[in-house]
Amino acid sequence: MTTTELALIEVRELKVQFDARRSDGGKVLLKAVDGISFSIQAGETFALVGESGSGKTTAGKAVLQITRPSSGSVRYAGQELTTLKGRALAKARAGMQIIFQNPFSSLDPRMSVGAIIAEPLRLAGKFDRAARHKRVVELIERVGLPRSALDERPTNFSGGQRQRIAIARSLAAEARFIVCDEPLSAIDVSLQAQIIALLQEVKREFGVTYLFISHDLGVVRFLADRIAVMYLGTIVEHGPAEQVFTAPLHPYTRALIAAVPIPDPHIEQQRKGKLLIGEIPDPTSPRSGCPFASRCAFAQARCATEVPLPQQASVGREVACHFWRELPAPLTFLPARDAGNRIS
Amino acid sequence: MNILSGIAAAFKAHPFGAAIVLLAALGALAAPSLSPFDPTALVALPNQPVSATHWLGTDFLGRSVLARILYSLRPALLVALITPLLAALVGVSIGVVAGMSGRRIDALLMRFIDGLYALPGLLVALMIVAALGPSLWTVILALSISRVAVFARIARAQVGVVTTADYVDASRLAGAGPLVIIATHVLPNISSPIIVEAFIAASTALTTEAALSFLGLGIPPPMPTLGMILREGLPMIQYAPLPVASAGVAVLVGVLAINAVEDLVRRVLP
Amino acid sequence: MSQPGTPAVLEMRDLRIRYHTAAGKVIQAVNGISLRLERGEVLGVVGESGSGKSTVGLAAMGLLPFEARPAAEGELRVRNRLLAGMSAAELRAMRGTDIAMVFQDPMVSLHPQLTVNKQIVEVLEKLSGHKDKAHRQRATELLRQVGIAGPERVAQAYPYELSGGMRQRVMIAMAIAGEPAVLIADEPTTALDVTVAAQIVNLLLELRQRLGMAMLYITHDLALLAGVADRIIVMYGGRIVESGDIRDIYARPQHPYTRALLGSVLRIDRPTRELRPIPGSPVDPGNLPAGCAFAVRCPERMDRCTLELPMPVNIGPGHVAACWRLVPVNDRGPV
Repeated sequence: MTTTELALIEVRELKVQFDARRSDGGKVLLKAVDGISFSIQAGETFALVGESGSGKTTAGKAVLQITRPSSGSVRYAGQELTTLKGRALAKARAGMQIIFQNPFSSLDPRMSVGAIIAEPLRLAGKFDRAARHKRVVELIERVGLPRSALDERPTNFSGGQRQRIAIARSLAAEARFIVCDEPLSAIDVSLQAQIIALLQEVKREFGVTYLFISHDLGVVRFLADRIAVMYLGTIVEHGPAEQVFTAPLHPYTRALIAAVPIPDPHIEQQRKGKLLIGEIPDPTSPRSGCPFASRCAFAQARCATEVPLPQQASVGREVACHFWRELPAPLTFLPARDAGNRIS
Repeated sequence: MNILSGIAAAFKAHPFGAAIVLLAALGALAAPSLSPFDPTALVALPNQPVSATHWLGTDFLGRSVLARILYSLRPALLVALITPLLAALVGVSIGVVAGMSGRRIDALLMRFIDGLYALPGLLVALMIVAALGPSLWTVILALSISRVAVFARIARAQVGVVTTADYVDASRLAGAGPLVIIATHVLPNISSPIIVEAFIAASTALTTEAALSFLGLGIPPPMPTLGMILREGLPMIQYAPLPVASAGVAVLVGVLAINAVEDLVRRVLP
Repeated sequence: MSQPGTPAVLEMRDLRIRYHTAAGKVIQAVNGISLRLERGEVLGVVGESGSGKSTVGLAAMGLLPFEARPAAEGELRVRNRLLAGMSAAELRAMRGTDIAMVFQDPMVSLHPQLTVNKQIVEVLEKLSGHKDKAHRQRATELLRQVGIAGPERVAQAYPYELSGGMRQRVMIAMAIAGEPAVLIADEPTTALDVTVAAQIVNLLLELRQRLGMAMLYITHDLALLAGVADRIIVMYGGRIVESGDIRDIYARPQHPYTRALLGSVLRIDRPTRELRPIPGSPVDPGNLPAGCAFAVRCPERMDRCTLELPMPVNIGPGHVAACWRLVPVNDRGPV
């Protein structure tokens, strides 16, 4: 990917591995993130998409160094973060923030909402009490909550309202780069649009860059400039969102898109029978070759033994598949064999 | 204003508990002025029953039982107050340091705490007092040490829960160092169980001190303590049960008072 | 479609359910629901939290909590038998045989300490009334029917060893064991990955075909429903605001709420130009306003809407909506 500007976030061969225990008691290495590389330009919304077990949440936390990577490089505004600790890391991470998936554990239940939003201001050290208060009032109203909310505890608020508070907190920290980790999952469907709208306004007004992690492809299609599709810890495809959605190249991306229902009965009636079989395999079991091979309808002998490296399909577009050029054009998808529903 | 109105409301809800607290506090603080007699002076014939001049009679030496009880409330209060404070200070510090440090230091500290926890409280207190010689402060020290482990464990467990919470990650991202996190997030969130434990420690301190005094290893004379009164009165219990009875009741009242205060505190705190 | 005159497998007439909380508050969960589910049909029940949709499903199973039962009014019939008159034993006999339910989170609904086999056999024993060696075989057969390859191994597993999709298949196996006439599915795929959800939906439709089962499919997901339901009812504040054939409603939604819901779905097959969030928050069933519950958030609200409950209006064959805007002008009264 060629760019004349320095990317805001530059990730290279990021790996995050955990020691885990299998259900039978054996110790095993869990490769949550298995070597991913991508970059995010300032001002864009980059989506990391995948289902459970894809490693997308771990990847997001690893970029922020909340979870420390096992290996690989993460550069923020040109500075390498993985080698820093303590004060140096805190300084280098200035401007990085996160909106968590669970709005019920992301706010300290013992603090008042005002104190929660003021905390980053206090940590920055450059505001006196009056200035802090003024800023906090500005922010709480900016996210659509009343001033009176400042004296209350988070427990009095709904999931959607808490996410607004979390967004206000990020703004207080003068965030330039916000990782949104499935911010809509715990919110009522009719309220999700409100939060999406708020995130967009914040982006327009403050020029924030988003790493948007989600499994909801409809939301991603609306918000994302570029997307990367993850499966079992690797990126199988990435590129401009519009292109990936209209012309997906990787078999998994195609299956994923084919599985998302469309609110039109006529279309849905005709889409039957094109299903991805099986489920995501045990992430702790050893694997060779392409991680998707066990479920891929187009898999061949090579796929089981040789790991496909990302290949450039066009400008800004990469696919990790041996046979992406040979896949049939229409989005049809027939199970070639029964991969079985193994116990995970 | 919030606290005062809270206290008033709590008093209204539990008049009996409130009365006990006030009584005990008054007695403890105002003992010297309330007491009509010197607790060490011989004021009448020994083993006298209840009378107009001596409301609780006299003990085996002829000293006023009422005076001795009133004066013994002071050290009791001191012990009940200071022991949990000291134990909490040390215990919570150990627990917080263990929880915020790396695996090795954590393991080291908590194994030490486990060892301390395994020893029976009374035994530990006895050993320390015996080694250092009985005095008010060695007793307080001994009792505190015997309670440190519980506080450390509670604190460590809570710290574990809090530090893995998302909001702490958010704070770290905003630049908060470990000290800030401890002050802003850890301590307020562990305060509840610590406060509850503090009151338990207070009651235990009271009764353990009485036990130590009863065994002769508590605060030495001339200061009268409830345990001492119990011990002195025991041989005469068939003829002059008053000293034993009043000391026993006083301990009971003390524990009830501590419980009443705890209830009050829990209503006032959020 | 069924022949006219045959009784519906599930029928509700003006069902009203109120919960009395311990604090003395009254929650009007369901406020006059009428529906008919014919044999082999899939009726979608759409609503958000607080709409009462889950309560409707529980009511059909006779599973309302103690706080609600005395306050349930209206008629509820399963296979033409009135639920209100049934004893506890009759209700128990009905469940699994005539009507069964699949819940949202199988991790919570399956017993964590019993193997899959034991749980299915338990259901079979209850259905047949006695223990039988053949149950074990039937259990394995049921697992195969719900698309589990290697069912013998899965039967020996505990729920925690299985993936989300597998657990849901197990739940479905338990539900269809008695070949019920009605299956109530309450958000069966919400907790699952999208590719797995598609498999489960496919399975349910397949079973409906094979067993002639009718389904009450409860969900908030309008896109999902498009591929599942024949007819739908849209619930808000415990009432039906619109109902009819799914194709009619999706093509020409009449009620402002239905329109807003459909309009707020972010589609994957075309770019959405403008985001149109519904203002406000879903109505609190413990605090229902007079008049139309949606009026407060409705972009087309009139004065009458906050005063009087709108009556259902016939839009077309089988298509009904309850909105004052749909009533012909001279019938509306003073505006």
